[in-house]
Amino acid sequence: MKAEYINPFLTSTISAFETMLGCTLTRGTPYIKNGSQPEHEVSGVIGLSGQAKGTVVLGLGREAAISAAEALLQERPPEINGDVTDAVGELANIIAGSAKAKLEHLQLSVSLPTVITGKGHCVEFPRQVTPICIPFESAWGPVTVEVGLTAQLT
Amino acid sequence: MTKTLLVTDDALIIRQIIKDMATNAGWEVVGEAANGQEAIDRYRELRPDAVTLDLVMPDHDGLHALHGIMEFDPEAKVLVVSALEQRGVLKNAFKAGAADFVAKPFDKQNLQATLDQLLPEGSS
Repeated sequence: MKAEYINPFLTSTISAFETMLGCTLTRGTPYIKNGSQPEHEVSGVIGLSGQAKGTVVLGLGREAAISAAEALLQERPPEINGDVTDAVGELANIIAGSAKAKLEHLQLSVSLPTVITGKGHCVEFPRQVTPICIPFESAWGPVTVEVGLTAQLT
Repeated sequence: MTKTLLVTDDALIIRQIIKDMATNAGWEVVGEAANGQEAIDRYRELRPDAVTLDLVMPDHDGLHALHGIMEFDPEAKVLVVSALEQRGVLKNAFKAGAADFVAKPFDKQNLQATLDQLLPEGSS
């Protein structure tokens, strides 16, 4: 996957957390994701299509997901419920939408978000895609964004 | 007189955030819509002072709503609140009559200030 595809997702994630949640993210070193081991309890998944095709996954631990919903709604959900999945889905949507604007030449379309919850869930990427994982640290615990995007041959 | 607002976004959580922000700022949120056609229908029914409008929604999108609302009321005050899409989409929104634009992710104070600027005190 081209490195130029990564930066827009990185900056969009930092911006979305800072602006909408008041949460500062500290970036770790991006790495190639191997295998399908899940790292988080809540995943917001967005499909991308256009002159490149792929998936972006926003992964949050239980505390980060609940705290994100609390920051958005000014009320703390007692557990991972519909408010939390709505919040994570919309965050994923905003991150993908903002990154899309920075990758204008790819003419991307963004799918509606899907949110997966539960310990031990897996989000698999297609075999031909090499996903890059961008890890972040926050006051609510770790957050990751995984991006798997390949140029479409025309 | 209380300023009235119609909030349009397909994401329930974003509608909730905008509603809370607007209510705290003294607006009366008179309705919500989750897609473009619903926004047109609710605008015709409620005649709010202003509308917040997401551009990217399933079924009928925000541009569809903008055209329908402006056709019904050329004086409508529509604030686009959307992820910064391709410049062409935004350009089309302004061409269709959008009064202003706030990009997602948005800061609530910035959104409130932009919304308040649509209707200066005493204009409703």
